[in-house]
Amino acid sequence: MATNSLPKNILLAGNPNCGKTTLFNMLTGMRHHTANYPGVTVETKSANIKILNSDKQFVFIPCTDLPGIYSLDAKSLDEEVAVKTFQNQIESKDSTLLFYIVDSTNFPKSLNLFYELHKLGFKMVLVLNMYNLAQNKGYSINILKLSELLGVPVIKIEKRSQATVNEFKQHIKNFQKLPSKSETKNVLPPIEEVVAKSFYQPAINWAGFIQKADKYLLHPVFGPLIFFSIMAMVFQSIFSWSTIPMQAIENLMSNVAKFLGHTFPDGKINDLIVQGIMPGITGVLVFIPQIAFLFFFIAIMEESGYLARVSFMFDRLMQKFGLNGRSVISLIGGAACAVPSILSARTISNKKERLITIFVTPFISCSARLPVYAVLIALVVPKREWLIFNTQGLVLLGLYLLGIIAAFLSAWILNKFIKSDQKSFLILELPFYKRPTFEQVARVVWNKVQGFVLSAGKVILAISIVLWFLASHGPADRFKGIEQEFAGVELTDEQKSLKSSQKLENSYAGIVGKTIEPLIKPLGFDWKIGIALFTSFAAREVFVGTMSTIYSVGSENEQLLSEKLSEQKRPDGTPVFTLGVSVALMLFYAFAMQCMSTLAVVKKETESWLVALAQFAYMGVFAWVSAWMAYVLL
Amino acid sequence: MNLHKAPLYIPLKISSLREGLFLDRLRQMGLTPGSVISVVRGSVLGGPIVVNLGTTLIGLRLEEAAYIQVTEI
Repeated sequence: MATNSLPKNILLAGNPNCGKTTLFNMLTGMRHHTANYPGVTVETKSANIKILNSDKQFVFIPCTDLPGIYSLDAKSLDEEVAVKTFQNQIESKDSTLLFYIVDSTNFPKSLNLFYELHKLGFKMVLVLNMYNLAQNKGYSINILKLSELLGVPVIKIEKRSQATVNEFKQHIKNFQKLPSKSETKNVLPPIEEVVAKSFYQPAINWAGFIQKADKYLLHPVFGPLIFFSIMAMVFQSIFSWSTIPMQAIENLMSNVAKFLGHTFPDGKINDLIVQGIMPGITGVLVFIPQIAFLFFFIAIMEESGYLARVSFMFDRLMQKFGLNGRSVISLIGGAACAVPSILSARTISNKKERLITIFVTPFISCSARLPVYAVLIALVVPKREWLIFNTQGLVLLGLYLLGIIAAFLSAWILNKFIKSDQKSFLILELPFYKRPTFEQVARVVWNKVQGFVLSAGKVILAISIVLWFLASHGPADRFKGIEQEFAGVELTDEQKSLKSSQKLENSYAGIVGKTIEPLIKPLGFDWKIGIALFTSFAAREVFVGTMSTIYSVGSENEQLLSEKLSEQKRPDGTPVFTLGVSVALMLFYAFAMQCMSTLAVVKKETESWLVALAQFAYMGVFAWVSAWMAYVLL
Repeated sequence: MNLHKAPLYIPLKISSLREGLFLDRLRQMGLTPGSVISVVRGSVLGGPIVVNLGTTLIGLRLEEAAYIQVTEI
């Protein structure tokens, strides 16, 4: 088998939610996100499949996972992406292998698209995914008959294993033996005939469990009640369950910092590690438990099939705000991260509804805000247990609710201003309920935690180091003056603290903070908070690292950040972080669009800098006014 | 009768689809003349309904359901 007998491209196509991405991950070793609702994949994903050719050499064949479609007649942006890929591949169809993935539990409906793709002339292999699930439900598919009727090889997937991967690879190696367009039937038998001859569906009430579950989960009163109870439990657990692992990480990092502090000789390197790098790293790692719990619950909702039902349940309500039932998936996803959530709005076919969804999704509190909230809540809300609730968890839930209210208020306003004649529709396939597997949920949690630590962590660490430099260095004349002022005497603790404070104020970071202070003074924020606001405009989670670095500079104290903040005083002796200032800060972070990635993805998805900048300005003004009102009133 | 007025759990045959914007999508989802369906979840407060088609559950708004003409089997 020579390399030129292998396909040059492999495409994975099929209806939405048929398991394409799961197979793609299995074949390529990638870890792309999967979930149990239609429209998870909204853009093409490519990676190589490694094949051992006849010369015993490995060759890499590009494989593309396409968004799910029902037909080549695209209705939404994600569908257009898939259809365009087919159009682009037409020229090279003789060297392209198309694996057409079918959800075996939903076999008859999948044939429509197969027939359309068959006409295009690709060499195809039909893959019956979730075959064991179909068997468990009593369905039976005659594979030999199906292959004979459709004129293509048919393979079944019962479980994800190396044997399954090998079977796929065997078909890739047999590419040249696959029937080409001229060798296959030009006219396939009618779909009804294929279904009648190859598919058996038992006369049982297969939907019994689904109906019973949906009776309560989609109930007009119980449905929303159950949904909000689940969300309340999620936010409670984020605070209560993560306390012990967070404390353990803090203790560990504190001991590591002490060890490094004693290991390195006193001087710049020691200062950089203890006051710059370690607070930055701790600021990232300490929030891993909370991020993990958030994604644990989101993964369960996605994998179980519940999320699609939430879209369905709230469609009517969404319409009143110019949104669509599908917007719910973007909004709930926004609790994790706005970037993929804005991409997921591609499944909304109505342009106005899609634009409003994109515009309001960043109002939903994302996981990057969680560390900021955690520090500020611990600062001003005493931890008290009340029945099954704790006060800090309730305040966190309140902040998420505020984000939701801001999103709906903004959607309502936009709905009044944006005019559109395009008709909206919701024709949504509700997936089967599935028991989420430990492996799936663990993979989602691991990927998200890894993403947070590596992507956000790199930025936070880099900014922490830069900030340490800016906070411990300043114009030479200013620093020299301070040194002279405190020279020649043994300093008391109070004098040491005063010297550190003066140096920070006259450092480069202090100069930046002082410059923006007039803009934030009406909110009760001082120049130190200004530095944190300035640095976290790139990404919100930088706030905690910045505050840790600022308040560690010149300090030998190993306290928690919230404890350090509670001790900060203004020159007149009053505390900096009063209730008003802390709430104002929380509201500012809840509403301001402090995320470069979100700004970039909004520009990309709307193809307009105007929309992206208008959103940035709107959210900024919303945040400033809300923070100002909170400061004035409290 | 139109699907949006159909009773729950009764097997229904799609007799025709009214011309309109949703026609293509309804067909793509398998809601074609001759298909046997049943409404398994009615509309609450004007919200969408759920239709069982073979092995699939499809949620659709009342406006879309009104495009589907059905007869009781």
